[in-house]
Amino acid sequence: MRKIDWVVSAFAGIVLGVLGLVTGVTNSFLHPEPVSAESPIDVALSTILTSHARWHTVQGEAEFVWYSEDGSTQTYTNKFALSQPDNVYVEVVDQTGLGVDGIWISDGENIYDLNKQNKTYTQNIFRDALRDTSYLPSKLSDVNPSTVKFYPLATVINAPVREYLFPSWFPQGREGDIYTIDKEESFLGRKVWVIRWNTIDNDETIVWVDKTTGIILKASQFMGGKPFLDMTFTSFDVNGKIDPEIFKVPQDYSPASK
Amino acid sequence: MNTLMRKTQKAVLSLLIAVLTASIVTIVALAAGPYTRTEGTTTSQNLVKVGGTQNKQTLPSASCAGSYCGTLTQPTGGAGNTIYEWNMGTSNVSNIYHWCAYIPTTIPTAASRYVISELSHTYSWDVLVNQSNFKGKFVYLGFSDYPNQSPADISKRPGLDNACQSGYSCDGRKVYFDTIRYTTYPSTMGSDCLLD
Repeated sequence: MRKIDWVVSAFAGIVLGVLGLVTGVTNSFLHPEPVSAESPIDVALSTILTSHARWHTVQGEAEFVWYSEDGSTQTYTNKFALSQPDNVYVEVVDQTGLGVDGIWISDGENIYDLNKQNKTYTQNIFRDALRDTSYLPSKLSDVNPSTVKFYPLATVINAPVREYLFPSWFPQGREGDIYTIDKEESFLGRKVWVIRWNTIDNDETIVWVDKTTGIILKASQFMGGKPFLDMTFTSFDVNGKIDPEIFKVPQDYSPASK
Repeated sequence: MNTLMRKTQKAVLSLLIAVLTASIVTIVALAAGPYTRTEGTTTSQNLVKVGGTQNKQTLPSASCAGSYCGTLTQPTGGAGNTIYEWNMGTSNVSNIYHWCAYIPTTIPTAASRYVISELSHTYSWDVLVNQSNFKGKFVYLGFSDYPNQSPADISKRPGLDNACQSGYSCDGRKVYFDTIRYTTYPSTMGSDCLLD
């Protein structure tokens, strides 16, 4: 080919390309379609937000260490067994004798608050409202920047482990809060995200999140730069069989007098 | 024959060069944008307003938000301490439906119990809130389905108390109380805790 042939061919190509762009013909095969570009942190936060839909039963044990302003600590053990949607057993054991412990049971019809010291319990009805999850955000774009919506059943469970078994509140921080994935690793034999939540007023919470269920298996919380809480699951089983007897009030307990 | 082949080769080569050049022109032009992209985000959401104002109430005053309206001190040493209740407002309210509480940003805060109790004390509606996890936001505390199950004129008084909660720290921390918002039943308003 002579030099003039190359030039003519290239010029024809430029004309063809411009024509294609102007007429929009090239858009049909070259223009990218809109895609969902979820970042890894969005995937992790979405998993946490919808955690309650990712398991049927959970059981295990968690340890809570609360740090007081004078530097002392209070330690509790939370033993738990839950079967969705409404069967719950949580026992709080006060390891330091400084706080309040007890047992909280829901059988789906009634809620029982058990006093372990005097072997009595109070009873309340299980309101239908506690089963209504329709108001919960189901995706991150539904999160309201002014309002946190907690899983309804979790609002009444009388033990802090509720916040980590039902962690939908975690991704509902304030505008300006920053969530980052520090790393991925294994904890209790499960794959977890290690996520750091820094709030706009300098509080920090680091959580170890089960990648399958979105449940928070470990957490370290700092308020104003000082340790506030260390929470660690010491055992954890998902979707295993739970003896239904655990959701009944033990026979040696009697109703508390009003 | 050779001449025909040469001409064909030239034509094909010219066509290839033209297509190649056209593609380069198009790709370069498209690379300059604009792009269409959707992504998940936790920020920059528009506020969602709930409809209607007639049934929306705020106790005791919206001006509390951002600071706090009152405080109580939790006991040290667990059960057996005097428990004080801090009522939001001086009058009872009928048929509380959606119910929200603003959590102050003051630190450090502890788990606290929000209570809506029926005056007859045969029924109460407790919600536990770990204030340390919800600072600076309204927390939706749920809705009452009780009006569907009993006479609709049950009076309730929303309040909070300073009782230590099972499994939470019990070391004399302050519990800060702030604005409570509620709607009355029946209501078409949503659960976003926002005034119009």
